Amino acid sequence: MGEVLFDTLIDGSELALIAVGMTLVFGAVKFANIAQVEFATLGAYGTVLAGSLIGGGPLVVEAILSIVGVGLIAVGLYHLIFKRLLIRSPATAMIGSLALSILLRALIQTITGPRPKELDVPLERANDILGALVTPSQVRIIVISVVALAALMAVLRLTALGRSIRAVSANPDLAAAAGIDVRRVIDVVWLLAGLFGALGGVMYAIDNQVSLEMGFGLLLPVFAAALLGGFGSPGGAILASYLLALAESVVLRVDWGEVINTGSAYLDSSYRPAIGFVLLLLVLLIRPQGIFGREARRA
Amino acid sequence: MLEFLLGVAVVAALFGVLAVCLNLEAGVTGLLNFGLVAFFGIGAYATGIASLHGVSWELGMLIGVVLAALAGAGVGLLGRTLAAEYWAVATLALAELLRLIALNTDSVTEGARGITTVEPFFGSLGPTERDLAWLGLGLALLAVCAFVASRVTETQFGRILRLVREREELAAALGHDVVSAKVRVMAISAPMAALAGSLYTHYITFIGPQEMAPFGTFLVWTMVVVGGLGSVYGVIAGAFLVQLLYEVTRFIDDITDISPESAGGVRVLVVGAALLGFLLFHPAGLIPERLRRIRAEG
Repeated sequence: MGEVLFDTLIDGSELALIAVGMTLVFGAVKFANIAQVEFATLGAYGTVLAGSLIGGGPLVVEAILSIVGVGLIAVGLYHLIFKRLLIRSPATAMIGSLALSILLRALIQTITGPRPKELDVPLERANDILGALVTPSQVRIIVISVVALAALMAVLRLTALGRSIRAVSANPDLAAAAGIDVRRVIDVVWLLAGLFGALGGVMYAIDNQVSLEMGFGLLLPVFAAALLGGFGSPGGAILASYLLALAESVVLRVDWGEVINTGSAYLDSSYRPAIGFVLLLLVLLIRPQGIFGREARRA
Repeated sequence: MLEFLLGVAVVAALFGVLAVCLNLEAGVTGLLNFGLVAFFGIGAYATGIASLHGVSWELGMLIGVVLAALAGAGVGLLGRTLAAEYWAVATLALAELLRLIALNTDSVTEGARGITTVEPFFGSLGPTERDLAWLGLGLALLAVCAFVASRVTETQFGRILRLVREREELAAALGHDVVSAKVRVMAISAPMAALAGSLYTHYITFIGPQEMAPFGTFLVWTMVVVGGLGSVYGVIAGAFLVQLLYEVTRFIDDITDISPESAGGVRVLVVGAALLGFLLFHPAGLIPERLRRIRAEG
């Protein structure tokens, strides 16, 4: 029970941070940015890079430098690439984001080689909480993520900036007519997507490794979460991320043999990513507009 | 040198078939298939698994083609409810699912080791003659697929497909069955990809899950965008150019002092830059689609 709870909280937090960026960008410029997951990869590699540049400072400083850097890169990529592609069509922008995704990974591989790296996280003794073995780092991942996500939701719900972002997402023309600086709002949204994507990447890397494939490996669960939550709805994406993590954790722990009365049979953990895919496909088939959303379905 | 170029040409011809297939889906109909490699993989694994069980290669190829057609029709049916971008991600998810199954179902697919029992074609010929024969076979398949694709594009059905690409609501409003059009174009194109996959497997006499990585789909997308979305001759030219580019950069660590590990990144970088560069600066491609002008009566 405790294991399911902590798996859900840790994996769900990492997913939510990245998915919320994807859904915000979708809300603002109406295309699904595949390269969003590469912001996570960039954030993790950026932390390694920042560490070697400032000569191994505390991890927090390295991570903040990297996250801010990725936020700025995200804004730059919008102006250099996506703005131009979006003029043609959302589909072109999506193909471009696939190209960019592969390009960024190839760039990192060219610079640092394909071998995975480790963030400078000290080895810690795991504590027994509710029957699950949890390290202090993992507790920090959960706390930092939940605080960051709560802060984002507070900004979106309670501030003038948040209102502008929601207004642009609902109807850019109307927002512009009401005097909102749409271009500035879009910049802010890309900044947020970069910041949160990179934060998610750092959190993932603390818990796992820094690898070239980490971002792409998260693409389908992140996409599933954004879709399940209803594209353009940050709250929905966050909720869906935790739901998805819960589903993954439960499916791997249920003794399916007992369910269908054929002795013990657990699903091999190598199928873990498949759970996200299957869920994604089911959502696409049954409720493509997501739990809270209105998009996706053809009229 | 000749052998190298011959090898590149054989693989380029087979990838040209994939490019023709993707062009029918994405270029003509506007279906963003990000899981093309799944249909390639269905053909390849049908051939591989057939060879494991001593089934004749013809039957293996036929099973792959039929399965791919059914899978293609099924995926096309998803277009009933899904807007283009969501359909794209569904195809990517399906392809990744198939790759995971290929990787993890050791008892059927030999897992990560891959299948090595595939029968080579033209086994009695010398290496150069063998590649020449292969080139003939590859080009023949490419010619047949290109012929089928351009026939499909020129018919009334092709005009409906292009209308679905440009204005799906309009096509539906004019009374065309959009879903049926998507299903049919997928069922026509997917077997082409399966044939290419089957022949590729016979050519390299191996199939493993890494051949189904999303990079394969990305490579074909680059070929299609560089050549010109919607133009059959364009995408075939694109296939040969991009394949040559990708193979020539194999030697990049011989002529520069880049480490072999990083060189793999440079090769992908070059392909990615070609795709993004064309999308940004020359979106019509090298040989743009020729649209027939209709003079309005006035």
